[in-house]
Amino acid sequence: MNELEESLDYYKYECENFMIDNNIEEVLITSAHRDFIDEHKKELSKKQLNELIILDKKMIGLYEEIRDTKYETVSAIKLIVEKYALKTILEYETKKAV
Amino acid sequence: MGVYAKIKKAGTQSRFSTITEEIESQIMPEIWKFVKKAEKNVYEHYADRFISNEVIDTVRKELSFAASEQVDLILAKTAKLSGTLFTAQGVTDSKALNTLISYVKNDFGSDMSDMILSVKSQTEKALNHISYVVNMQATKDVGKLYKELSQYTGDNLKKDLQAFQRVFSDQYARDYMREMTMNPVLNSLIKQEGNSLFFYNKNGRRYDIDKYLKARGEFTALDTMRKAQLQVAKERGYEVFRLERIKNAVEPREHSKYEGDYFTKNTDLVGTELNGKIINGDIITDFIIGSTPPYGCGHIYVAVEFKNIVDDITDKFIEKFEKFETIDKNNIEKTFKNIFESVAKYNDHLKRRVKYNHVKDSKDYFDKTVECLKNCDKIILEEFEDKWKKLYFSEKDSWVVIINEIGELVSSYLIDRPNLQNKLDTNRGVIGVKSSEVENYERIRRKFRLL
Repeated sequence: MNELEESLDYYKYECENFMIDNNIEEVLITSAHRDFIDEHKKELSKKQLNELIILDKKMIGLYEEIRDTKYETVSAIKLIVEKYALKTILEYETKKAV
Repeated sequence: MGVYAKIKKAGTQSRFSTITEEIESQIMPEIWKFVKKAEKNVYEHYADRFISNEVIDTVRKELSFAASEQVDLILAKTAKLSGTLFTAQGVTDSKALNTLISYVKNDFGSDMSDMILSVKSQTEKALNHISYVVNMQATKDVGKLYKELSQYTGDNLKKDLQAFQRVFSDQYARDYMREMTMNPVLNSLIKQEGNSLFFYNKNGRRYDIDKYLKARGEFTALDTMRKAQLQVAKERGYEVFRLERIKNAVEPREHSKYEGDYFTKNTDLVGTELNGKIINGDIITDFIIGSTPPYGCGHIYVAVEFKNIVDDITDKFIEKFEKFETIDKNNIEKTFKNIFESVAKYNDHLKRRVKYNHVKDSKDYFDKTVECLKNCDKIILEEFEDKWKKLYFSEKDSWVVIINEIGELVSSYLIDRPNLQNKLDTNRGVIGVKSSEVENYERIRRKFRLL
């Protein structure tokens, strides 16, 4: 597993196993992985990119679910959504539209 | 209850009373024993009509022997008592303890020994004086008797003899008394000044022994406490002191207004809050921390444990870590989770570390966590809004261990990719986590090395 694959896998793990009452540090590690993916987005295969879009959508959905709670993880999820997920989906939708 | 236990349990004020009482009950009786012996000698020989040089020599030898015995005893008792006083107040360093014992022995013990030697010398002088006056008086008496007898006419023998006896005895008494009062000890005896014949001559000044001993005992009790506090502070790394009054002063000091306030020589701690008060610098000019205060001052600096958040978190974690019922090093698999914030979090974190081959199992996870704490080369205090403060222990290019404010393990993880570390740091800042590196963290590392 190369670094990009590992980061994608980590992001997937977070989306599937997210614990709302986890420590913010754990989700921040995920955010670092998500940042790395963002930086190397062009190197993603089509399959990987599709997987990323699915994960980002999941993350946005997750954020919608938890945004009004007091858990500290909300801040980290919000960061992932606003800084990476929404941007990626917007780009993806724009490309699709074009 | 023994003196050790009494001092250990006592508050600052009652500790002062206990120490003073110990000095008064253990050391002072040895001095009084000698003073009374010397007094007895003076009284006995004052009543004598004649003291020969042989008697004076015998008395001198007896006094020298007794003085030497008492001096040895006082020094030994002072050393023993001061050892108990310092250890009961928390001094543990053996080298420092020996230095403190020797200091008290040389300061207080020697002063008390000097007093005994002074009383001995005054006694000898008084006995010499009695011998001199009595012998000189006897010579004078014979001279007067001869003169009167040579002028005797014998007209009225009975009448003249009575008059002669009266004049002679009056004159004799006056001369005798005048001569005797030339010696200060005999003067005290004749005029019945105070309760003791002796006044302790020190630095050319005369002191009432009773008052002097009381004041000296109290000073030593204070001095012992002051020095113990400084040593305890040194041994435990305490840098903050509270000014406390433990004895009433003859006159109020200007620095009395600072009673109950905190002081430190560490400029980093100045201005910090402790128990609702702001810690001052070392600002009391006539009694700076570690110095000898002005004469008669009844204040001491009490060493205070000032735990900053770093020490506090560390100590709480170590306490949890070392409790057998919390974590059993022979059964890590089942007990490591006990020092995490929750079992669910522990399970999640372990699963993640195993998944990415950062650890093999729970034992490996435990070992890597402890290894990081022992070898960390950076400690960072992180704060997030008003929600939490946490300590991050990181080992360069390796593990990070995070502990929360109540000493629980928040997380322990490996960032083995430098590119992720930078991103992680950036994102922490983005969400508003404030970081400050802990300086002088060697003492924290020392604590962890003992795990």
